[in-house]
Amino acid sequence: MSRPGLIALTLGLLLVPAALLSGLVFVVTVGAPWLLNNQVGRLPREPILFDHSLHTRVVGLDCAFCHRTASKGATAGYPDVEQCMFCHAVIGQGVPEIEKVRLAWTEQQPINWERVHRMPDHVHFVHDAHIRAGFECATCHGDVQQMSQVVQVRRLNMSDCVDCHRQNQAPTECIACHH
Amino acid sequence: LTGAHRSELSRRQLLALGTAAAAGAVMFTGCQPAPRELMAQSRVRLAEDVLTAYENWYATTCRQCGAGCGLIARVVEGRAKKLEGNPDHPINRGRLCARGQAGVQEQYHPDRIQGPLARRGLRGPAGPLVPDSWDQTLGTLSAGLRRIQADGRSGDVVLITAPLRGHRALVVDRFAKAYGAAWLTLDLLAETPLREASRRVFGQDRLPDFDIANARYVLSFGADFLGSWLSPVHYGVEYGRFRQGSYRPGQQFKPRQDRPRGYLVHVGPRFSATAANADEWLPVRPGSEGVLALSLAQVIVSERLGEAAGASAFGDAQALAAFAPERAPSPGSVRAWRSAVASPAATPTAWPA
Repeated sequence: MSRPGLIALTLGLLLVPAALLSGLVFVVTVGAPWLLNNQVGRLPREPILFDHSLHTRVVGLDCAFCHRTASKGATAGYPDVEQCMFCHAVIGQGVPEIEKVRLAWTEQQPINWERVHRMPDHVHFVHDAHIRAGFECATCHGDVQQMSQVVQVRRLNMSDCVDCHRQNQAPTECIACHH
Repeated sequence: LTGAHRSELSRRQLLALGTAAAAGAVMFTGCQPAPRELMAQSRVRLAEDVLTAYENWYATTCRQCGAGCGLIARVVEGRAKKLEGNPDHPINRGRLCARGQAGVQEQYHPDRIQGPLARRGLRGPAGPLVPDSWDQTLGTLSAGLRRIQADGRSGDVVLITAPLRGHRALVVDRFAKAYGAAWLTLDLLAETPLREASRRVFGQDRLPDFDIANARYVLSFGADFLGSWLSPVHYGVEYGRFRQGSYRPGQQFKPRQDRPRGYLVHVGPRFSATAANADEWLPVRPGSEGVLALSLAQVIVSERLGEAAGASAFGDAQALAAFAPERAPSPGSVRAWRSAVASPAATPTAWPA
C-alpha cells in the first residue's frame, strides 16, 4: 500500500469511530435528555379530562386545596380519589368525565395520570422551600387558571433553575439541588 | 487477502458490532426515564387516613350547642377518637366543656339514627319508625312534593331545618323559594328573647357578645354564663380574666395591679354555677327578674345616676315610679311574687300588689 493510502486508512480507522463515538456521547448526554425532558407545551393524554381552569377560576379553589403537600414537603401531591369524591359524590352526576372518577371510587381503583411536569434526573426539587420563599405556583407552572389542560410552560432544566436562583440570590451550590 | 483472513475479519466485525449494539441498547435505555416517573397516581383513599399508628388532628367546629367552639379532633385510621379545644380558636381558646368532650360518643353511638326512618301506619306505637333506604325515602319525598305542587298547594309546605348559615342556608333558601314553600328554622336552645332584646336595644337581630373579661362589675339577670348560657366555655375564659384584672384582645394576659378584681352579682332563682361563683347572689322567684331590673332602672333614673340619654329610653320617669323600691312588697309577700310568676310573659306595669 502506498504511503498516502496508509495515512488515509489510519486516519479513517481512528477518526471515523472517534467522530461516531463523540456523536453518540453527545446524543446520550445532551440530545436525548433534551428531547425527553423538553415537555414544554406538550399536551398530555390524561385518562380523565380534568379541567384545571374550571376548578380554579370558575369554582375558585386554591391550588393547595388539591395539591395539599406543596407547602409541607418535596412534592405537591395529587389529590386522592376520596378527595375528588368530597364534592363529586354529589356534583356533576352523569357528566361522562366525572363518572370516570366516580367509577374509580366505586371500584376502589387509583387513577394513573400522565405526568406533565418532570424534572431532569439527579435533581432534588423541593416544593415547600419555594413556597416558603414566597413564590406563587404560577411562577413555575404558568397561569393554570387559564389552562383547561395543564401543559408545561417553563423549561425547568438546569439553566432555567440556576438563572432564577441567581436572580433571587438563592443558593447555586451544586449540593443545593444535586443531593 | 485470503479467504481465511476475510472470515477472521468478519468475525471481528461481528463481535464489534454486537458489542456496540449492546452498549448502545444499554446506554439508550438509560436515557429513557423509568415508567413510574412518567406517571402520577391519585391513590384511592386519603393517605393520612389509611396509615395505622399515625394520628392526625383536624380542626373543626363543635355542634353540641350553639356556641360553636373550635375543636381539634384526633383521627386515627379515618376515625375520630378524641376531641379537644382548638388553642387558636377565639371563642374557647383551647378549652372544651364536658358536653363538647362527649361529642365523639355521639358520633359512634350504637343507637344513633344511621339513615332515614319511615313511619308505617299511624303516629304512635301502632306505627313504628322503620329504617328505609335513601333512594326509597327521597323517591317518596319528591313524589309527594310533586303531587302537592301539581295541586297548586306549594304554599302549604313548610320546610323546617336547624338554623343554617352560609352555603347550606343558601341552598335551602333557594330550594324553598323555587318550590314556593315556607322555610322555618327550629333551634331547641334558641335565645329568642335575647335576640329580640338585642334588636330593640341595639337594632341588630343577633346575639350580643358580652365583654366580661374587661368588665369591672357584672350584674347578671338569670344569665348562667358559667353553666349553660350562650357560650359557657367562652365566658368561662372571660370570667377568669374578669376576676384577675384587665385584658385586651390579642395580648398575652398579664394581671394588672391598677385594676381591681371584677365584682359579680347574680340574680336568679337557682343556686347555679354562676350564682355559686358570685360575690352576691340575689335569689328571686322565677320570672320576677324583670321587675327587679325595672326597680333598679327607677333608682338610676330618679337619682340621675346614669347618662341622660340612657334615661330617656324609659320615656316618662313617672312610668317607672310604680317600680320604686319603697313601693315593693315585703319580702314575705308570697302572693305578690306568685302573681309575678303567673304572667311572666306580660310586661310588668308595677310591683305586683
